[in-house]
Amino acid sequence: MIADHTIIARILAGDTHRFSVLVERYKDRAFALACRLVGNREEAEEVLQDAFVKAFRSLADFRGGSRFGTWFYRIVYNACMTRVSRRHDSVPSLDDPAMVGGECAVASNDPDALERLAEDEQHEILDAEMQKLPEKFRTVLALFYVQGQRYEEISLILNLPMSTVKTHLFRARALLRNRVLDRYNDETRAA
Amino acid sequence: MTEHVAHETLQLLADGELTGESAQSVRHHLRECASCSAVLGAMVKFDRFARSMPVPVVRREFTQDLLTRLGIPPRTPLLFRLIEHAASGIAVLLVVMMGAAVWALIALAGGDHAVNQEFPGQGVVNAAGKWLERGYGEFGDWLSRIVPNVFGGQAAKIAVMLLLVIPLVALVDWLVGRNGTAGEL
Repeated sequence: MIADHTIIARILAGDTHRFSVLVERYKDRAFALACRLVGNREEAEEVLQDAFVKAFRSLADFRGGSRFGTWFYRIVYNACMTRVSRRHDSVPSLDDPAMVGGECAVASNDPDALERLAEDEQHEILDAEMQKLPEKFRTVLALFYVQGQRYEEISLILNLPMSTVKTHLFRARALLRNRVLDRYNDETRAA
Repeated sequence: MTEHVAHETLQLLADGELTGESAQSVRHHLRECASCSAVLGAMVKFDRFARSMPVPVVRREFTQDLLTRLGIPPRTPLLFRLIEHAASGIAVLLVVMMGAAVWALIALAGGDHAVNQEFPGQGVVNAAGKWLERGYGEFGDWLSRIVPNVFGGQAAKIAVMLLLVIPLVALVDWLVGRNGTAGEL
């Protein structure tokens, strides 16, 4: 596989076709991230197009200090945030005590509860509950679970201190875990 | 370590973000503490489950639409690109083939002896053939042997000439196209 920086050098030298290699390489993961952040496929695709256009036009500014993926995901993240803020969504604040209080306890009392759900059902619940999380939590979870990014990369993409990334990830996962298990318990009680 | 490990620390361990002595100390505690081991197990299971979530995939036309928006011409497969670049050469080949076919039909209509008659432009073909024979040497001779002996034995030379012309036109076409897109960035 040709390295990203080699492809970028060729694009900047005039072989613009090579941009399609970068697009193919990053589009699906970036799309998954955009879907998680803006909440629907159509808008996610528009945002992703805008992000790629911006990346192409700013390619000369990419200094190679970080990986292209990190730089590009940051553009995607910013594009998503711009889109979300335009909607004036009233997402729950990360500082809301209800978000970071008791709900954040680790759900360890029934670790096998998830296994008793059908796989499709598990994913459906997880997807729905993830979508309900505050934007900052959704973002770190998407980068961590979908992109497979490590803490340091997430910190670079979101321009957040490592300690904040650690806290967000911990709280986000605890919250998600509890909500998923609560939902499971509700559904089994109702059945 | 006798107290239970903080859940945040267990999460760091599960994520591979806890290293060195801290990690060693937590691992040592886990060997003796069923409660912390259960919490860690639940965290790992949940992470595995979350990672197995189906990832949405962007539609197939996305890249092409994007390249169009950026004004980058579509990138076609190598074979099609070669054909595209060689289009002018192929056009010349087709015209010559059509001409040859017409001449052959006329020759056939006029009887066998007509095949050996002079055809229009034979002088040019002869001269080109001699030049090619000098240039190609054994390759030209070999081609002459395998190409049917029509047009007064000049068919092989015409074929060699076309073999030269098509890549040459393709090369010029590619160079012009390359220079045309270089200024886009």
